[in-house]
Amino acid sequence: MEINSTQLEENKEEVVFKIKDLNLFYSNKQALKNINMNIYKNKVTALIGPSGCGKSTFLRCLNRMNDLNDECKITGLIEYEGQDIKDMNTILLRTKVGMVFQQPNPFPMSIYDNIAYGPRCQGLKNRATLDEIVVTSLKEAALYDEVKDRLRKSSLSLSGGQQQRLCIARCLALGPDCILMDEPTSALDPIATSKVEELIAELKENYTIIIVTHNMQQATRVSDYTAFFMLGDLIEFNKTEEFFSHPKEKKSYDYITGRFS
Amino acid sequence: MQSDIIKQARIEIQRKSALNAEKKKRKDKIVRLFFFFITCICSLIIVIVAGFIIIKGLTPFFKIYTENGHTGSMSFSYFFTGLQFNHGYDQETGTFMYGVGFLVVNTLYINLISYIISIPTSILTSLFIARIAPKPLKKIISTGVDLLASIPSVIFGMFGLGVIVPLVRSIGRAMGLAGTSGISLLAGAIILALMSMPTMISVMVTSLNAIDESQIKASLALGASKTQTNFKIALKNAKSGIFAGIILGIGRALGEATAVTMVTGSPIYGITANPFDPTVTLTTQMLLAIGEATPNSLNYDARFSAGLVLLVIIILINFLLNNIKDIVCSIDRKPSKAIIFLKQLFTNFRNPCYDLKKLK
Amino acid sequence: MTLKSLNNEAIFEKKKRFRERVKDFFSVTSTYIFSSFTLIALIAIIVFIFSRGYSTLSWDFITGDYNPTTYVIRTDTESDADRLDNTFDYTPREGEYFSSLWGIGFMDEENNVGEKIVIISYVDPNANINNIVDADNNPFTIEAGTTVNSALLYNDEGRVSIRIDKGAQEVAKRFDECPYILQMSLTTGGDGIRGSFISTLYMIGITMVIALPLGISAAIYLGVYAKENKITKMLRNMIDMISGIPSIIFGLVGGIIFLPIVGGNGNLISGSLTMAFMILPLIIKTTQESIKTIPKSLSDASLALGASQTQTTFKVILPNSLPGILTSALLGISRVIGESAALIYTSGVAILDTVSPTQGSATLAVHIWSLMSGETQNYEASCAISIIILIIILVLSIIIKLISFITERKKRRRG
Repeated sequence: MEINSTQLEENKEEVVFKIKDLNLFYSNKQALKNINMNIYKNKVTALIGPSGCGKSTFLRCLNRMNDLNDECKITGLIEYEGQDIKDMNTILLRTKVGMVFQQPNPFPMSIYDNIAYGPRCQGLKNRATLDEIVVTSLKEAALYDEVKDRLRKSSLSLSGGQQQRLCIARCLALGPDCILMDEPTSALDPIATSKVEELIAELKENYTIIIVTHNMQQATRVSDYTAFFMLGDLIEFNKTEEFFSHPKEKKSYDYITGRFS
Repeated sequence: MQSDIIKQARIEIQRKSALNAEKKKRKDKIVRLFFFFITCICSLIIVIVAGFIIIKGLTPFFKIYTENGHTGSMSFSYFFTGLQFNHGYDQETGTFMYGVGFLVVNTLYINLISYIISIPTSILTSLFIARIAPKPLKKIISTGVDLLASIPSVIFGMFGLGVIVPLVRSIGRAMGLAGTSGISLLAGAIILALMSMPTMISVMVTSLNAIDESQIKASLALGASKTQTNFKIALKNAKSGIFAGIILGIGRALGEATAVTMVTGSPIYGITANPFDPTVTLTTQMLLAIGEATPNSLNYDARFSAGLVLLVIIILINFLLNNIKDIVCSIDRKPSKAIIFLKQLFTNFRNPCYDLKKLK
Repeated sequence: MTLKSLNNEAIFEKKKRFRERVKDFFSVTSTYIFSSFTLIALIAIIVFIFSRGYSTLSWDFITGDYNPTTYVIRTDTESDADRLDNTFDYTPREGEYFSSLWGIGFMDEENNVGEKIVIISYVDPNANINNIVDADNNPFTIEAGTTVNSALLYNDEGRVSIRIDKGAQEVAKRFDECPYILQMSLTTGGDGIRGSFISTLYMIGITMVIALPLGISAAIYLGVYAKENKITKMLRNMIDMISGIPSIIFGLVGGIIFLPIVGGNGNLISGSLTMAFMILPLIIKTTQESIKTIPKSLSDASLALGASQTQTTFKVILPNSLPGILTSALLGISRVIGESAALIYTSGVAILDTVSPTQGSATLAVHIWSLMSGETQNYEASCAISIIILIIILVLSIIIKLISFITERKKRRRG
């Protein structure tokens, strides 16, 4: 696996995640093979590839959600801001690195409680502060105007797109540095999708975003960097414009041009 | 976009998170350990119950009891061969004679009769509910089965005494048995059948509902009638579920005490084959005159021996039926090692030259 | 020739069809017959219980004492009120005999055990019975519905002993002859089930307090924390095995463990402990099933938000498995209400009127056992108790159905 090292060195960007020789095994199957890459601060990095290529698994490595699976074995190094995440406390890591899932999964509580869940779990009890956090998070997620007069209503009454933005707001409430998104728009209709995409573009200013997508157009629309995975290998990692205009690898070219999916 | 308050609050959250993360991890571990501990306690109940039954059930054979001016322990041979639960003291051997073996025979006999009633009824009823009945009838009968399952055993016993016993009496009188009171083995078997049927039916219906619909369609496409399909393909496909239902029902029937005690009477001794005679089984003997037995007396402890025998029977029958189920249901699958071994054993038995041939 | 054979074949085919059809018809009919058997049994049970128990069932029956109260009364000779110079008018109903001297009507009846008794069926509102006092010299008022156990009357000629077994007619005749009561024994009430009802409630309460926390904790461990390994499998198998043990064995073991601790023939606490052991697998299984149906994405989301596993368990998993926990509790309650064999050993068969958890007393089901297993059977009271038990169980199962219906609908709406 070769990455154009000269290319990356040119970047003066700040590195958030540094991944070195990452291997991941599910019981006897290797799901990720020797991944090396960097993720840069305040940029959107898109992970693309055919389904089953390991992109979601890779994403779940970054906030150690794979720990929950007993059969999963990980070797190699993932550094978060210079610190090996293996030595980090998962609770601390996950407050810094938030995650949005493929299916909108709000808790069956009120909209307010959904967003206050994270801060409350960290021991924040002050009502005024909680109110402030809820309102700001909803505004950041561009949902506030739609729900401002029904914050106490059940979150399950929202539409799919609203639910997904609620999940993003819930994640923002903790003030993370980095947000992982696992195909956040795959369960949404086109209008909701475009809203979420707009949101991602806005959030880029304050957050580092890593987004898994099966939709190449989406990757070109929202991301600054693109990583292309296939069968557990990282085939190519580059700036999005360059990746799509001048792919270095033949496999990338084939994928972009739709030779296989 | 972010106001100062929010920045402050978020920094505060992150700070708290960093501060408390380790503590939370420790707490997680403690909570997990606590739940594990409780689970262990819950699962230890089986060990406690089995342990007490085994120890208390074996004690009478070894401990020396003093009762009615006699001293001794329980007779081992009479325990298996005796025809009375409490036959008093045997001067010759210096042991108390408590018989349980005949109770086993009675228990198995009454259960056998109840299975003759319950198993065919359950199979046909569940087939009816799952495949034959029109929708409204299906709902009525399955609700009825659910209700029957929720009726406590003591109410079954009362019903038996009030309805089944007079019924059996009149049948007996009609058959020329003038002396029968209706309190009988047959009444007990009928009650047992009624009580174990709901369990059997609900398991069987579940498995009949779960069978592969394509098999049914294939059978219909081959020209079999709907009824033939139901009886041949559906029943065959749900075989393992039907067996599971039978095993569960038998388990319930074997352990049933109150209802049977109320309708089978309390004869003191003997094995009876006549369905119109009163009978005494393991469970009824354990319940009979319990008020008169003081704890730690031999009369009380002998009931533990009966309980031990009951548990052994339940486990044996379960084991046996599960093996039969495996054999019957594994026609397509590879037979297990035990079955291969058994088959070889039988071939060897029939053909002594088998090994020799193999050697040559 | 070929035509003939073809013809033959057609006839043969037709016959075969017909035979098959007949066979099918009998097969289907057999399933109809056998499944109606189950239904008939159920209907027979319900009809039997209601026909025998309905007349006994009343508010007094539920709230009344089991042990009847007996009064001994007599005419107060020290009071100088002039006695019985008037007579009363009353047209007795059929089977009723009226003493016009006393203004009291008597009636023949049978009690629940089938013995012949005489009851006071009518008391004239103006009947002059104010001079009658009980054993403590307090004025006593005779009420309709009390049973006459024995009576010794007297008049100017001497004492007159009344033979109750000769019936109400004889009693009324003798009462007309004698203006004074030397000694009379009356019985009121009895046969009520208040004590057993309360002990059932105690039993349910204590059992649930013990079994629910244990069961829910175990279910959480098995459903949330446990890794799939040999130890977990073993724990699960062991808990499954508990449900296969007959209740009478639980009774024996519960008795031998708890009776030495609580003393005597056991009390409600020892009975509840035994019941808690018995229903644990039920609670664990039902709760675990409902934990299994909580989408994994919810607990994932909670963990991804930096909540600890403990917080996830208590804030996300427990609230969402509440319907399952409630269902398991209700199932457990109906099990406790119906159980008899285990309780005969561990909490005794004595029917008490004043119940406390530290005393052994019969629950409703054991009350039936006590009434039915004696020399004479009291069908009326037993059937009335059965009606109560069945109604409670029916209500519980309707609630359970409702819970599952509501959660299903919620799930469908969410999905």
